[in-house]
Amino acid sequence: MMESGSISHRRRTRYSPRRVIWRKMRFTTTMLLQTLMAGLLCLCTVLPSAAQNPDAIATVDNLHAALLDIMRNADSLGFAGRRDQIAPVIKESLDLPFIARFTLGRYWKDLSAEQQDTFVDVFSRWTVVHYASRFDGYSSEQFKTISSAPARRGRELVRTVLEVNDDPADDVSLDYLLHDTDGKWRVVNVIANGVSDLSLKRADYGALVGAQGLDSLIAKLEGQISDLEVGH
Amino acid sequence: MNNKTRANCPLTLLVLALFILTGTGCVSIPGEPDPNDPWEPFNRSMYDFNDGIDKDIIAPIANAYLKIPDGGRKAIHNFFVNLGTPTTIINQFLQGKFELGIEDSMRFIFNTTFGLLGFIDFVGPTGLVRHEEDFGQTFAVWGIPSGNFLTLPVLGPQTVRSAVGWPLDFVTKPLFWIETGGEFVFVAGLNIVDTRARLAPAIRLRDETAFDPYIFTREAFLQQRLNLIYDGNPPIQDLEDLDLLEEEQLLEEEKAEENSQ
Repeated sequence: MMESGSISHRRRTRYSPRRVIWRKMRFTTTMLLQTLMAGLLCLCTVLPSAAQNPDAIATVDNLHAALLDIMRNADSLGFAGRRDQIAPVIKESLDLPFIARFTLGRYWKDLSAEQQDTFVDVFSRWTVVHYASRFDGYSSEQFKTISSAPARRGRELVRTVLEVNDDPADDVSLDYLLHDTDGKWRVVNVIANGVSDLSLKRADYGALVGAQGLDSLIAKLEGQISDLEVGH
Repeated sequence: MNNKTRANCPLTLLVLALFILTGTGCVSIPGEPDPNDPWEPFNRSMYDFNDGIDKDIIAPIANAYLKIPDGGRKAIHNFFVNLGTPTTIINQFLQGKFELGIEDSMRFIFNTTFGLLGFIDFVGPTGLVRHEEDFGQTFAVWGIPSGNFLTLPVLGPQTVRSAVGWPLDFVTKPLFWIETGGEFVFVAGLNIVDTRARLAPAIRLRDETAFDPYIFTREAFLQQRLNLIYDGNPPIQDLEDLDLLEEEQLLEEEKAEENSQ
């Protein structure tokens, strides 16, 4: 696996005496199959892939680099510093108006233009403070970009992995769905271990707006922003 | 073998849950009922029941457990992962994943012996990734529909398909065959605490962000199950968010209608 910003289909490889013992003891068929697979995967890394989208990948890599930066300097920056530093990157990397619109689903079109603007503003601030709150420390985590592939409607899916420790079983897969807006690729959804952030929010927000209206959702989002601002 | 202890433990909780639920009656549901969750009233009752058990009993123990140094918790977690490996192996073969079945059989043998009953992930440093299979996933691979979403007491979120598979998962775990009741209760309890401790960050995220934790849990569970069925590598189409695509389609149709009028 290459460093963040590069592409590879291979998983991280580790060497140890136990690995040698293990490999010697494996069944021949398994070894043959794995050798064949490894060969094919190596070939994939050598051959240029026409499907890769460097611009979409660059957006995700820039976001990851900015997140790692606030994680590494979490203590010296403090919450306010992390928020101020990550805010422009979030707004540049994520299409927040688009995400906000689709989190409300069918309720969006019932809102006035003013209500829509208010919601986009609150949702954008909420997103920024949550990033600043969640990425509040560093313990050798690494983001690895795996691949990108075209999705429907001209979108691109960039697949990455967050390595949280030395155990590959604990890796978190982070898939980003991006679209091209005026020549700039922006994220419209993040899928962590198969769970879509947009889908979760749409279900949660939709239920609340349907039951209590938009004002209630906005008040709750403002409440969470205040809690996080005060809590740090 | 103390079958009585084994069999009665979940059953007692189930009966207790039903008794309590009968007494407490209905639970208010915010908003419109979701057509994709026809058993929502029942599920919410169960969710509240489980949440109460979690807050009153399991979470405090898990929080204390999290004070154990990382290495100790890692060893305990490795033990339970190894204990679940036979279930994974059986299901790998049932799903036709023979190479993975052989690979995980070797993993189980080496981790159980050289890894001291699995407390040490002896095979882990080779870089081989662990797998997780169960009968619910096997049924999905066989083409059996998932059925409705279902929340069960203690077991938590399920689909009908995964709930039917659960007893098979249970009896294929070595834990089921432990002879004495005391050992069973201790190991099963520790397994629950280990699982809860591992879920702590996700639960914290849910508590910090979700306005309706039931909906958050339901949606996250269903999506994660799909991810497991595809072994963490679902087709791109499944990651694109079909609801989003449908909604965009509707918007475009509405716009086209407006333009034509």
